[in-house]
Amino acid sequence: MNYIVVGASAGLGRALADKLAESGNNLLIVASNEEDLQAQSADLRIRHSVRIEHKAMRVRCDENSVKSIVEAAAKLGEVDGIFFPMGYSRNDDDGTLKSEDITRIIDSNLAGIVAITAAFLPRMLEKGEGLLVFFGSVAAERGRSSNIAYAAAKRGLQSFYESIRHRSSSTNIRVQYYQLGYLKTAQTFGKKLPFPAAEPEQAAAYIISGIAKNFGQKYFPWFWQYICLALRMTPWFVFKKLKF
Amino acid sequence: MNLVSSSSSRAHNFVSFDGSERAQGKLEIPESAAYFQKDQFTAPQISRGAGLSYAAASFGKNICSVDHARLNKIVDFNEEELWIEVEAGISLGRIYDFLIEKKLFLATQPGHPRISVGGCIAADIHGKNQFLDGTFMNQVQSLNLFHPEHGILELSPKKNEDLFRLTCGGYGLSGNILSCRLKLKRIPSSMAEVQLKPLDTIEQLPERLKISAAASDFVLSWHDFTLKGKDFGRGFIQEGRFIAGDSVLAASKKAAEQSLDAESRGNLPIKVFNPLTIKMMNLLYGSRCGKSGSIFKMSLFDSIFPIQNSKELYFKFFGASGFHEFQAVLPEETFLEYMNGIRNYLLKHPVSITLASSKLFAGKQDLLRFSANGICFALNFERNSESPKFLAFLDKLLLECRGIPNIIKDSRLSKEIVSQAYPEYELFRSALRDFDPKRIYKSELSERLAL
Repeated sequence: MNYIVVGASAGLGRALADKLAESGNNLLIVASNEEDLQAQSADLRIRHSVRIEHKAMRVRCDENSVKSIVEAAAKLGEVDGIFFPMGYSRNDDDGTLKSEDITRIIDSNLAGIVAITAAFLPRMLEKGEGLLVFFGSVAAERGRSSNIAYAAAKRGLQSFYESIRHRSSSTNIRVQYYQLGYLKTAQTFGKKLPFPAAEPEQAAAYIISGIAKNFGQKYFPWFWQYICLALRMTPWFVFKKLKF
Repeated sequence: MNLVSSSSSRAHNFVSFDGSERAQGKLEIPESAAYFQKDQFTAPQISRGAGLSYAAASFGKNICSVDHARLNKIVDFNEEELWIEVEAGISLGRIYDFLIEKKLFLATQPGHPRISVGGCIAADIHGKNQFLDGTFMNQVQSLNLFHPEHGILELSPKKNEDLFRLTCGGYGLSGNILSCRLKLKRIPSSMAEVQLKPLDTIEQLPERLKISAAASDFVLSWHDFTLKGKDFGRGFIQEGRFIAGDSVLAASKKAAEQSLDAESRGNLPIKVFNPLTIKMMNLLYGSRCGKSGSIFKMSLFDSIFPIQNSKELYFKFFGASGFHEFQAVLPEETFLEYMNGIRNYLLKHPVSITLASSKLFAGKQDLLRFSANGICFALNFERNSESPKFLAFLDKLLLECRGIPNIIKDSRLSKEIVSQAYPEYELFRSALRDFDPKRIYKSELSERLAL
C-alpha cells in the first residue's frame, strides 16, 4: 500500500511512519525540515526495505503547497491513504495572537489538512476506497482560556472529518478521527500533567491496528472518553471556575 | 507531533546510575538536527545518551543536558564494505536488531542494549573482547562533532586526528557527537557458545586469561570474593565463541525494548543486598560452573548484553543508596600484588563484594582513555558508611600498582587520583582548552576532575 504521513518527522507522526514502513508500506513523508526528512527516509528505507519519498515544506492552505504534495505523491503511484498527525501550538495562544501566528495555527491544524484532503478525495471517491486519518486533541473538547486558536482549529477539523465521512459514506473510504489525550511529545515535555501520557509508539500501534475499520471517532488513550464526557456535562457555572 | 518547536526543555533532577550523584540541571530533547546551530549556545551544556553511566558524565548542577534519544536514525549502510552510519542517539539494541538478521555485528559493545552509540564513543567503552578488537574508538571510522564555535566538524583517524582522539574517550567535553560511521564484523549466526572453565585460585588468573583469550572471541572471569583463605577469588573463566546455528532463539528478543534507567534503578522499597544475601548470591552464581566446567549455547544477545531482563534486578537490589564499581587496569606484573592487597584488607575489614570480574586488556594508554596492557578487574559493592574507607584504600593500592581507574565507572574519583594515574591528564586538559577556550561543555564529572 502507499500512504502519505503529513507531519512525519517527530512524535506520533514518526512512530506512525515507522510502523507503516515496518508493515511493508511505501510512504511519502512530509515535514518541515529537509535534513530530518533525509535522515528519516534513509532510516526507514534501510531498516524496512520499502520505498520512501519525502517532501520538506510548511503545510499551508495554498495551491503551491498542495501541488507539491500531489507531485511528490505521484512518485509513489496510487495513494491508498493519508495520515495527518500534525499540529502546531503555542504557549501564548490566549486569544491575543498576531495574525501571522493565528494563520500558522489555523493552517497547520485545519486549513492545510482540508486543502490536502481536497486534492486527494476525488480520486478516492472515484475508486470508492481509501483511508483518511485525522487527529484532534482533548484540549479542544471545551473552549478554555488557553490554546484558544488551536482548540478552535481542532474543533473545526472534527467537523471537517464528520463531513467527509458523511460525504463518503456510500463508499469504502474509511474516515477516522482520533481524539488524542496526552502523548509523550515535545508538546507535553516538561509540563505537569493531571493524567498519564502515552508513548507515541503505543498510539501508533493502536492506530495501525484499526486502519481497516470504519468506526468513525475514537479516543486515545481510551479513558479520555470518560474524562471528556464529564467535561462536556460540567455546567457552565462550574466550568468557568476551572483553571486548566 | 511535527511542526512544533524543534526541541523542548525543562528543569530536571538527575541521578547517576550508581545512585551517588544528584543534581538539578536543564534537560533538552531535540527532535531535529536543526537544533545544532553555530553560535547558538554559550551556557554550559553536555550531551546525554541513555543516562546509564555510573558516573555523572551527562549532567551537572545548572548544566543543560542535551538528550540525543530522538536523534537515533540509521542514515547509511553498506553491507559489502561493512559499515553503518548512525545518529549518535541510537541505542546499541536498535543497531543489534537491524544487523543481526544480516549476520553482522558491532565488534565492541558494553553490557546493556540501551546504551547509546554517542555514549560509547564519549566514554570509549570496552567489551569482553578488548584484547582482540580494542575499545569503541577502534570501531569508529569517522564521526561528526558539533561545537557552537566551530560548527560541524568531520573527524576520523586521518582527518582532524588529534580532535578525533580527544573526542573518543573525551567524556563529551569537546562537543556534541552527532553521527558516526562504524565498522561492522561478520558473524556466523546470532548464537554463541559459552564455556565456563573453573579457576581454583586467583593466582592462576593472568596465565589462564591469556590461554582462554587465544582460543575465544570474548572472555571474562567471575570470582567469589566472599570466600576466605585459599578459596578467596575462586570462580571461573567464561570463554565465548561465535558459532553457526539456529537463530530463532536470538530473534525472540527485541533488544530495543529494554527499560533500565538511572531513576528506576533505586526504586525498590527495600535493599535486598546484605552480607548474607550477597554470600548466597555468590554461592549460587558460582555453582553455574561444575568442577569440570560446562558448555552451553545461548543467543549472542544474551551473551553480549548480560545486564538485561532478570539481571537488571542485580542493580535494583542495591536499593536507593546505590553501589560502587571500582574498575581498573593493572599491569600483569603488579596484578597479584593488587589482589593480595585486597585480600588482606578484606580479612581485616570485611566488605561484601557483590561482583568481582576480570577481562584481558591490550593496547596503548593515552589521554584519559581506559585502555592499557594488562588485566581489567572490577569490584562491585554496596554504598554504605564503610565503603569510602575501602575506596580510599583501593585508590592508594591502585597507584602503588601503577594501574589506571575507569573514570566512567566511578563517580567519586578525585582529580588527585586521576592526574597521578593517567600520565596524560594535563595533556587532555590543555588540548580541551586549546579547542574550546570557553569550556562550554561541562558535567559533574568534568568539574570534579577539574577538566
